[in-house]
Amino acid sequence: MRLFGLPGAGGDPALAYAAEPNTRTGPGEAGRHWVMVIDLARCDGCRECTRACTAMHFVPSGQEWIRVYEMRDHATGNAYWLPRPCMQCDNPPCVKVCPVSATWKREDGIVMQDTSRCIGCRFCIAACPYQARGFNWVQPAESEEQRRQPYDMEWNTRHFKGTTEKCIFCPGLVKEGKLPACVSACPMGAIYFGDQAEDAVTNSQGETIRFSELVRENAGYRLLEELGTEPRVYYLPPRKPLYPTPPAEPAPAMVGGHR
Amino acid sequence: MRRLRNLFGCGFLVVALLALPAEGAAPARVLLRAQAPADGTVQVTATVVDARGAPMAEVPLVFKARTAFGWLTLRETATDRDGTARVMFPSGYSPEEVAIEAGDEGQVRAVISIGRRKAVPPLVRPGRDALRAVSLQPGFISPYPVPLQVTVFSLILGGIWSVYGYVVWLLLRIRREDSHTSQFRQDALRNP
Amino acid sequence: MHAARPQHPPFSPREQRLLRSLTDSGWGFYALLGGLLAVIAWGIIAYTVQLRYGLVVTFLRDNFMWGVYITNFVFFIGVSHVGALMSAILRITGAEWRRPITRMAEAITFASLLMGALMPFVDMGRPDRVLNLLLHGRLQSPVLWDMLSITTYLTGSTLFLYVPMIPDIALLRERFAAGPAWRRRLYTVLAMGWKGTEAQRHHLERIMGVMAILIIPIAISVHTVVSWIFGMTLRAGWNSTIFGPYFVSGALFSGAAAVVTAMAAFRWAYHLEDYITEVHFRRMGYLVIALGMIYAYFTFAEYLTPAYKMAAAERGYLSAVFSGQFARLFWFTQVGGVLLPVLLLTVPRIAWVPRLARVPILRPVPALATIATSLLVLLLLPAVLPQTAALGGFAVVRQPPPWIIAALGGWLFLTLLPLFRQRPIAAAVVASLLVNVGAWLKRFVIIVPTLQYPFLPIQRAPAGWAIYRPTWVEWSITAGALAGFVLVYLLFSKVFPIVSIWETREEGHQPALASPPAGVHGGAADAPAP
Repeated sequence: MRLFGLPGAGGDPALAYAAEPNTRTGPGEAGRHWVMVIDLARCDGCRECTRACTAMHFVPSGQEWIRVYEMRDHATGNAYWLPRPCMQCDNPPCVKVCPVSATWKREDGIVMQDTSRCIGCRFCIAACPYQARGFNWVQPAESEEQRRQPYDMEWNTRHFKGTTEKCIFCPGLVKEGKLPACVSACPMGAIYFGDQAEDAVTNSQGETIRFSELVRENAGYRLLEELGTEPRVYYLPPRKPLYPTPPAEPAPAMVGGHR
Repeated sequence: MRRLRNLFGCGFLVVALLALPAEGAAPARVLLRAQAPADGTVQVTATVVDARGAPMAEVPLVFKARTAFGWLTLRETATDRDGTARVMFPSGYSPEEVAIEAGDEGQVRAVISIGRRKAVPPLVRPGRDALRAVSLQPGFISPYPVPLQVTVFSLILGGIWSVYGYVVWLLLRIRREDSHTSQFRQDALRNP
Repeated sequence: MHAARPQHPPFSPREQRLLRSLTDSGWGFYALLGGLLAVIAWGIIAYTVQLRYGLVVTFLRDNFMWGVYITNFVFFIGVSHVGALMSAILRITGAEWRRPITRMAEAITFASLLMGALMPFVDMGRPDRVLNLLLHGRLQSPVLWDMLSITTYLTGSTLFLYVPMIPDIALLRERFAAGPAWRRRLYTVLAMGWKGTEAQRHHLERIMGVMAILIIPIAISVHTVVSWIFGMTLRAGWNSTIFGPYFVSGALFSGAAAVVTAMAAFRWAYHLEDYITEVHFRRMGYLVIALGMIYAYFTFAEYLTPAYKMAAAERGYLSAVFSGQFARLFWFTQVGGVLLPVLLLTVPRIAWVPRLARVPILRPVPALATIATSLLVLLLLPAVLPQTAALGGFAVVRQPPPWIIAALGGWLFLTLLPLFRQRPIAAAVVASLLVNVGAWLKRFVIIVPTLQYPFLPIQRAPAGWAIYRPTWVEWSITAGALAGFVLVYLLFSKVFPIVSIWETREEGHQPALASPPAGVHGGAADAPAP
């Protein structure tokens, strides 16, 4: 067990780099606080975000890193679509329980996942209240092109049997100044992404809005706020939706949602 | 903030860009000026002038800030009698660049660079101190051991394991008794 | 050197009886050994299949990330619980009747802990990276707490088992001087040069005094930490503050029952009727009853508080457990796993029980025949009828309504009561087996329903992912682990006397040997053994 002799709280960056020579992770951007806002009134359930994410990260079959749920909060409430990426919680239950810190919190708010270290105990899956984590129960099928790529957890293109994976807000794209795959793929511009420190979020249609105003004026909420996980994904309630509601079948669950 | 003060410590930095030539009373240029007073705030002042260089009043003006993925509209206003408008940034926060769009259709544009983002190398796996700014329970989510927890665990486990050590020591004593008391070879397990 | 001392007395009749398990191995032993090895081999084959193809060969999926393996883990750790704990408490309180059974209880701890500690590794997706736990271990994770506490407990309970065995091992060293070389060497090393001198006895007593006290908090902490694997998550149904004591109480209950089973098995197999008497079963029965009531109380407290409020998040699993797809399992664990065993251990002692035999419909032969027939019909009917979806994978009886089961069960119980009164040991064994089956199932019912009802509904899961039905691999590994447990226990009883020879002698257990052994430790014999 690593108890002493290594960077403790805070830590020396040089030492931390030296301690992890195999980690090709970008260290994130100091001072950034990535945040996502999903306007449920604009989501029409087309699942383009899921497809774009799956295509970009070669997400193994069975997993959806951004899953679009069909929700209804109560019997008289309207049905609505709920895209659910990883919430990148500020009080992340998954990070707390990870025995090998294969998942950890970056300074820019992203909860990273290192599949080359994960031992596959699935404690994080048990701990996540958002079902945002998936497990590679088999060795995922990989194309030749995929296999040639080096393991880079910021792009998360390689997948290993017996490890946990999840949405990581596309840090590779973000570092290049591009929006995450799901955000730029959303044809409705329902997903906004940006830096909370800059107080600005941008969607696929190029709208850049003040994050705090957007959330305040639209009564933004966070999923399962009462659990205290402090998610970094905000939802704008599906008020006067601009889309066809989810079909009656299968019956939307009356769980979750905003309360 | 020190970064800003270094940049602007000597006074004013003026960057002015001409966008469109115009005739008559149409706004021709926007002069941009950034000020960094000692209190850490940053003030960007825009002056709209016509082709002859005279300041123009009542020109609609939009301030925009560069953000990670797009231009954020900061303020929509109009120039005052001196042909100026300004936007203030509170202490500790200012964007990299501020852009101005002046004129009814925003036809006159200018950009001023205020400063680069901090180039501090961030931590690969931040520990408690860095996470304190991010999270509610920095110790619980830190990848590194927490001194208090390590102390408590060491006390409990150390106590238990040292008792085990004591037991093993006693066992060794039992073993040593064997050689010490060879004349005392009474078989205690003898049956009556 | 011991071979040079020919004047060892031969086995006394008493020792012969106690050491029969070491000296005689009938065909039954070899048959059992072969069977166990076969089951273990099958379990290993299943595990290699799992290694080869990944955890996909289990029915664990993203929603049901934990299942039978973790159930086994909790179960084995639970069973391991009581051995050392009970033995320590009985030692401290100076309960003399404990002497013949403490060692078999402590050996249960040892064997069961080995299997329990194995289970998380079987459950791991990447067992090849197990070293990461040491290289990058995070003390903040309950997994590390588990590792530390189980290691500590395993070490402590091994010491606790081994130290009081030293005098017996010394005896074996003397008696097996002409035996096979491995036995001679093993006993010589393990006997620690025990001669039974005053000083050695003093050290031994001191060790037992220290360990008996130390092992109690360790044992309790181990199962508390195991419960925190669940308690430290936010999931409705696991997010409970009393999970620690709840699991401890359940562990004590199932562990005490396991000791009863082991007592009966060894009594029967090794003919220990003189040592393990009805009195022991009665006393252990009291213990099981008391622990069962504590456990029932905790269960009640654990389920009533959410059920009273019916918070949105908890509705799903509560209704599934009380009246939904897990209801039969849950009510079996409560009625068959707690209530019935407690009744079986108490009711046969009531005076009016023999009178039941006089009631016409409770006459054993016709009543049993009727019940068996109706059960057969009830069980065969669904098998003959077209298959219905087996919910939860455990629908033992699919079609018949619960009240028929309850009525048949009650009838059967009343019919058997007079019979159990005549055979209290049989009653205790039936009760303890029921307790253990119920305990395993209860752990399953703690783990799986909660996973079926997460905060966000299970949607867009690939076909078959929304339900958990353990596969043959999981059952095989479970069977292998159970066989491994029995094997370790069996081999232990073949190498070491399962009933402490020197402690039962101090007690003056054997009437034929009533005169206290003379010698240096004559004084110590009167004091309770350490």
